[in-house]
Amino acid sequence: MDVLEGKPLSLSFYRYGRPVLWLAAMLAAVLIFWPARTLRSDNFILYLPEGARTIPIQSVGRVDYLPLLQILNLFVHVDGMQASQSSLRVWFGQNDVQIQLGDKKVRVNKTRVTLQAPVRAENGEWLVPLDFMASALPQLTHQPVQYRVGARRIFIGSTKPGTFSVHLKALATGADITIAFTDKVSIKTEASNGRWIVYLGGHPVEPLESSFQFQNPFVKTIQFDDQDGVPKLIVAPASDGLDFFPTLAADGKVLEAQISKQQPATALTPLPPANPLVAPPVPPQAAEEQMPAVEGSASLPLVILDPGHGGPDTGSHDKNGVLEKDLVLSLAMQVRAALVGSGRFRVALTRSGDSDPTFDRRDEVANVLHASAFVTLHAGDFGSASPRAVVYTFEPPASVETASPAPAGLPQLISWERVQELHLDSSRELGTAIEQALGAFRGLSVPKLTAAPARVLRSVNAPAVAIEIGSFAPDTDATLFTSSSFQQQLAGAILNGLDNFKKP
Amino acid sequence: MTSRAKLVMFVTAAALALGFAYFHWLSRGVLNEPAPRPEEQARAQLTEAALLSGGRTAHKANLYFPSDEDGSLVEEARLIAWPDSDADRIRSVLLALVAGSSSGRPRSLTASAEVRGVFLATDGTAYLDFSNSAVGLFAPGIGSETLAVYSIVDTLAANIPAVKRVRFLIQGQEAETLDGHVDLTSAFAPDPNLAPTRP
Repeated sequence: MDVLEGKPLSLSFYRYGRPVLWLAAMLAAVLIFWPARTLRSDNFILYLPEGARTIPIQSVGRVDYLPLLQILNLFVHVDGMQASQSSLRVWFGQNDVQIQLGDKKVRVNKTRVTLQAPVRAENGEWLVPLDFMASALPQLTHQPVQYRVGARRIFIGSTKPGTFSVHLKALATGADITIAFTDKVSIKTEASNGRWIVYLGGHPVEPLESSFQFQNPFVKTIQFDDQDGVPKLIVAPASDGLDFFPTLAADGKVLEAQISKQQPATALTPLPPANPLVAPPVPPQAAEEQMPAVEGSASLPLVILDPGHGGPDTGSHDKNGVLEKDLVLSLAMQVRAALVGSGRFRVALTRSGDSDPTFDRRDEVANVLHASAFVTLHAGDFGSASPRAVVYTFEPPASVETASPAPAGLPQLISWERVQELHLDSSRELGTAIEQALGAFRGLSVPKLTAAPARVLRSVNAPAVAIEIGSFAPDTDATLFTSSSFQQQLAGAILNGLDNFKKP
Repeated sequence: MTSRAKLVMFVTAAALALGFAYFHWLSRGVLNEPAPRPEEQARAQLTEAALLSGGRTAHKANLYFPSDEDGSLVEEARLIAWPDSDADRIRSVLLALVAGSSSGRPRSLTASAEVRGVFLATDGTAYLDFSNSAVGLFAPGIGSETLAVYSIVDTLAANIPAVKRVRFLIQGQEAETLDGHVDLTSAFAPDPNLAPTRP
């Protein structure tokens, strides 16, 4: 009661004290809610015949270390130990290890072994660099040790590591993942925190790649992890509302998993495409069954336009997120409009939406429809040389002899893979005509016609060229290339080039 | 200002000072934590270590890096350890290309590229098996991909006379393209049209 009846605070407290208290309260709140930074907690994994063990790695500067006594305790019963401030000697059975603080040389069973970095002592623990496991451990355990430099896992004794490869097939409504293991595995899957975890049993695994990233609307990453001594694959979906159906096949060596949209009770209504030029994805199987539509009068020469990439293959991108597949599709639409509008050409596209035809499918369109010319459109990195357009014709790798025309009166026999070699001269004529027409485009740098072993041109049975515009790369701005005025001028130049090529 | 208000302010200031001192002490442990090493950096260090050791003599190798601006290859000399066998020499030259250009030229192999295997056949065909990480991540496009391939082929042929042509494998398998453009299904011989120029 005395406190309540005490002297009220003076006016100066309200003037100065309150702001100071508010400041203190805010500072306290900032300290409490300051985002915690995750400390490194990498483990070194030892795969032994009886199971996996982990030892925490301690990083000092750029060198990774392991505590020596923890390593030895995994394998042997230490008989004795003699430690001073600068050295340590440990012996067990007929074996003996001596290390000196700050010295790269260690003595193992009277043999000198030189490590990559000097021995350290931190927090009462004697630390040896990771390469101790490869250079000294085999002499102490008298067991074979399999260790890859740079890796953070080791295989001891009879454990033989397996590995795996991942293949993803994109479908219109999902994705098929095939994970092929070199050894038979047992699989257990579970969902956790929006990801699917595939436990690989106790099988020792040495992944050639620890993480696979996909540019796919269904799967984002597949990551290998064994940091807790349990090998597993973590599959991260690219969005919510997906189902995961794993099955083990081929005698336990192949994991096949389907990722698909969850099926609603009622049929889905297709959403309108964000870009009016880009149609919804086309299932690959459906696309392979029929030829694309041809626009224009049947008497006119047919030009096949091939927008590069598509579907999950986005090609490159610029710093604003413009994708090469979208840029070249929109450019192909402008070229199509120019060619059809001229009334001098028929046109068909290898893709008119966000699908990804195979190289052979693109070439098949040209060959089945008996194209007069094939033009594939790409965007690429030219460094600081921009804006630029480069015209390429096909050139087989220098080790391959070019096919020569058959003698008169005999049929020309050539494999599908090399059919473009019959058209190298006419392709060069087409390329030169387009290159000269592009040269008239003010402000656009057009180097001389170039030859390249471009895969998409290899099997085209017609004059064929690739046009690459740029510079288009993750550090460039593609605003110029996406503008309709640029695309219309470029389309006009390509039309002029085709006109000049068509002239006898 | 009354003495009570002065006391409140003094206590608050002291609490703040103590708080800052404690925060500084806490942050020392976090800020002094060694920066995590990206895989690329770790691989670069391994590559550097491999280049400096393993051979008895140093050899001046001529490496050809792409020049995207003029679509050609540019020569750079590099001293590297020179093993006795041709297969090991191929591996050393590839590791030097993985290490990258000293004058900032584009890469023909990514810093994280791993040479999984090298085999030199008696007919002079060098089979190079790269990891998946060798694909992508470099300058994209038909032109830059072509230069990347011939940077490897021309460099190997120029430094190791036994190499007549080069066959590329990815993860031990034949690959259709390097990164969506260049046809990798045949062996490559050096391209005389991309004659290296000295910077």
